[in-house]
Amino acid sequence: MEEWITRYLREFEREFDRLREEISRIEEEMLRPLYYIENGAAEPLYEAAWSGNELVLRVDLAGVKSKEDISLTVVDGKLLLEARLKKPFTVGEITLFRGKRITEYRLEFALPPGAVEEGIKARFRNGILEIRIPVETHRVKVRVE
Amino acid sequence: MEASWEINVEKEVPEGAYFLVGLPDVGLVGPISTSHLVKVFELEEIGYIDSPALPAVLLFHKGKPHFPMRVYGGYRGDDYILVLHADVAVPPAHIHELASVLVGKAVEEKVREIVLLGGIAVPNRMKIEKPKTYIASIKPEVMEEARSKGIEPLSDGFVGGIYAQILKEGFKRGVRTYALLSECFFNYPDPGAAAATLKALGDMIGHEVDVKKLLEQEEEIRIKLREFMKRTMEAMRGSGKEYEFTVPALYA
Repeated sequence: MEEWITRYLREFEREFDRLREEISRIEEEMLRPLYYIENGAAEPLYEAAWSGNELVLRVDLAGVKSKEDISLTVVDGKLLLEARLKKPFTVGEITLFRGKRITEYRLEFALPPGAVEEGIKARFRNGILEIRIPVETHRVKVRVE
Repeated sequence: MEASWEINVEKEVPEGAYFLVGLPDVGLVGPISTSHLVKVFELEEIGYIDSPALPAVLLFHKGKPHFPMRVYGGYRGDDYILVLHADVAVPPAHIHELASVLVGKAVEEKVREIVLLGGIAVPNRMKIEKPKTYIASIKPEVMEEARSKGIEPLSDGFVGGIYAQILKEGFKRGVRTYALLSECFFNYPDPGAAAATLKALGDMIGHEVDVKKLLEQEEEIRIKLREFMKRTMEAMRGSGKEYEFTVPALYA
């Protein structure tokens, strides 16, 4: 097989592997419990979608008053979101949560390979935080014959 | 494998009732709507639906046990309102059975119509202040009637999941059936969309639903139903819901 074809196929394989890993990672994170009850934090619901070269996270921060109550930092390749609730809430009289108060949201999200940390932007609107993570991908033009 | 379904309604349902259904789906619009409706219409719990297909759970509220899929009923003026509310999602493998059993029961009780309360996920929901409500029905005359009341008929795309199957069963068995679907978040509980759906319901059945409290408690509901939302999304995989983001070949 010609060398250029082999090289392009490897590039494709790498890109598919990257996408597969990304999907498994998001699925794994979706299956984690939503409460870190001991430290009074709850994990917010979020969804992730690709938009061109950006990974867009939309995080439901219901109960957070303003952007000043939100802290977003990148630590060792992970995005750490902490957001204070305007008033603590209790989950109800469910045994596991009885008497426990949730005071903040906390979410750790592993950035995908190629994420440009300095280019991350966030916007808070109607209780939803939208985080746009630019991702540099290696592109190879394939000749069509 | 097929599962058996048991519907137990302890009180007599008068002929010509409105049968309103709130099953978990995108934005949990259905159960948020029926939960609110039961409170403001002061409906009584009159029965349950159970099946080995449902998760083996029993709810307790204020010391009282409840089935996760419950039937409520009561009068609003001269009309009897029958409500099915569920706190668990229907597993995709059992959608067809439940749809058939539900419509069978509706035929047996001679209901006036089946109204499915729910949402339709839109990507720009965070920018929408007042969600729009669409009506979906197989009967064109129902769509036209809704249009005359200011509710837009769904024009293109798929309706997926349990509601699609109930619409089909209703059509096959000659029961007037329609879904009121408001623009909603896919993955987050959406009381705002539930309020829009209930407003449309009021327009359709002529009994206004006061949604003030629902909107006041919007944030609290969004916080408290996160876990239920997450379980619903996990359970919904393969339910046909993914088709709602698909362009049908009919339009290609």
